[in-house]
Amino acid sequence: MHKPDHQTACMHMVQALNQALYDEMSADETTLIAGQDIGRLGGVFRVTQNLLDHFGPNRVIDTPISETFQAGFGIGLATAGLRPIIEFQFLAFMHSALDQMIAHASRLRHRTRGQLKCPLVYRAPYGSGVHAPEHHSESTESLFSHIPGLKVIIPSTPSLAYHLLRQAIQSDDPVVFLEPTKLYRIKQEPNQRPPKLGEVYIHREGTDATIFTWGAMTYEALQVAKIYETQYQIKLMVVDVSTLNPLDEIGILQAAKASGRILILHEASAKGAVGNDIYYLIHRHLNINAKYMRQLGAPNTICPYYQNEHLFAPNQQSIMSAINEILL
Amino acid sequence: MQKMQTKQELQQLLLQLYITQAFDHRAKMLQKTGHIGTFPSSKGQEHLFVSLANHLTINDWYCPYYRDHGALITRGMPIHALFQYWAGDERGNSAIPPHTLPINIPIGSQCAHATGIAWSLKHQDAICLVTLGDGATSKGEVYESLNFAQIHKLPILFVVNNNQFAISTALSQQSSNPLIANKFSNIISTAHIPHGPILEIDQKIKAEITKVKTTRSPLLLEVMTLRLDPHTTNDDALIYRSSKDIELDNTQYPISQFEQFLLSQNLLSAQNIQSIKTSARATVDQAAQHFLNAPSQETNHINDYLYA
Ligand SMILES: Cc1ncc(C[n+]2csc(CCOP(=O)(O)OP(=O)(O)O)c2C)c(N)n1
Repeated sequence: MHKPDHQTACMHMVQALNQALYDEMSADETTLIAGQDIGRLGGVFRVTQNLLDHFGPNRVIDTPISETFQAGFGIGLATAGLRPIIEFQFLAFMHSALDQMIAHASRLRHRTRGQLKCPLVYRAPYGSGVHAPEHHSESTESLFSHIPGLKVIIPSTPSLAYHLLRQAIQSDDPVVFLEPTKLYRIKQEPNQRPPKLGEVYIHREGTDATIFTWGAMTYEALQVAKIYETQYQIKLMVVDVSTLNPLDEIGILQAAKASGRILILHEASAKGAVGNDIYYLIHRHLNINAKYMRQLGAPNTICPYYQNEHLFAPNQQSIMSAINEILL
Repeated sequence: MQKMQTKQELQQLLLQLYITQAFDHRAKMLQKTGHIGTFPSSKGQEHLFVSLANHLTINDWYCPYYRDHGALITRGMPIHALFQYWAGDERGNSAIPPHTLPINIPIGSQCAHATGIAWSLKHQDAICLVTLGDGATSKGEVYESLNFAQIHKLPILFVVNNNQFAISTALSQQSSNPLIANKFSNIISTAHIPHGPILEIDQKIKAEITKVKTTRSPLLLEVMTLRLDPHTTNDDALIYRSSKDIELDNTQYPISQFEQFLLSQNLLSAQNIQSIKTSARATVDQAAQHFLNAPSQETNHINDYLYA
């Protein structure tokens, strides 16, 4: 395990997630984790390192390569009163499990009129930055956010990852918990306030413009906000949406009101995506002129192989151009 | 063994094995220097993929997973293009050989595609061959494909490269039966090729491919191999295997044993073997230079080929 002083220590996201799993599994005996290569190896990214030694093979289960089964197995465990955490090696390999998530996990409470519940967490790394072949860089968070009954959570810093994962495990709903691989190994100081699952997290206050973002793009947005503050005394509010489903509509509208100039920033393409929901929400309630609203994401095409991944997701330069447009 | 190979055939096979070996070796080096990304070496399994490709014609379909470098090269994929693919460069896949699917990454999914291809071959001469790892046999799509192929007697050969590991997961945690061939024998006809000398394995593979070609019925063939390198360049096998086990496996390196066999039986001279090795390395070096010197990809391509 990482250090016990995790509330204050500077750590990276893999360490924070590992600590969250350790703390939650220590605190609640009904929790258990299942996934591919999570035991001795500690997972391909080492998020589950040493958990097998601490909690044994009844609570740290190496599964065969069987994503659809893993998702359904978790539903069975949860229905029976346990709190499973199911790890998928990459988001793209979780897609075959969508059937179980849509047909069962998201609906169990609803279709039994509250008699049964499905408290489980589906964890997967996602997004660009690992230099692996095809299918290792996708940002399909919106697919999951489209499903009523599934919560979708994305942390943007190690300490948010720590708290949000613990809250996700404690939640009585099925949660899809997506971890930005690009941030896995970046050490960051802990955030001052803990986050609350279901609410936006304001990383930085500001009244000149508001950036709504999540995952690895939060990191880029914060860098840009620092540059604007130090070089131009322009204060950008950076809002980490963090819970993509259901959206924290009140929190989003409040943050949007603070500046009235909006950038919605995400790594995925905007086609059929959560960013549009946020745009529409703000537009409908606040009636902000379209020239003060921008949405920035990837082009609507297949994510290039890793050599040209950088052409895909927004970067600091494109973020700055978008900000400049809404500040005019 | 049905028949002794001619000297020329032996030289040709050795060259193919050395090229695959040199490709793996060079790719690992290029990964270390940052020129290519995560790479799965086929060390210990080169002969399987070379033999599979050798006993098919180019009219037969080949559906690879990601460890099939030897088969792709043998089927005519330019080596520099294979480097490009592993370097995250789309141009690599534009050079896939005829009747060959691109490398498959989502485990097991290729079996369904291969079954569809085999359906289309029902009234033709060709067959379809698909490869997968032992870990892949846990995926539902694999069972579903075997079942369908058997119901409809399709001309398809499912080849399981049983290297006994799926990343860190040992076969005992992956399969209810230690023999993949037995696990599926109630669904489909199966065959099993144990560890052994390269020439013997080659002849057995040839026989099984011939069987599918003549009976035009499906078969699952399990071939026992050793994974002598970690799963990929990203993996550290020492976390889940003892160094002793790994060393022991390495003493069984099939290509080294083949060299010993050729020498001890006076089939090829040491000088002859050396010159084949040198020529294989030169071929791969040249391809690596080609790969390294190629202009980088245009950046305006990312919307190309998305729709017809
Ligand atoms: C559907 C899916 N799940 C997980 C992965 C991640 N993954 C890549 S290789 C691998 C192990 C495959 O083992 P095996 O089938 O035995 O083939 P080997 O790599 O040993 O040749 C896994 C789990 C994947 N590529 N696809």
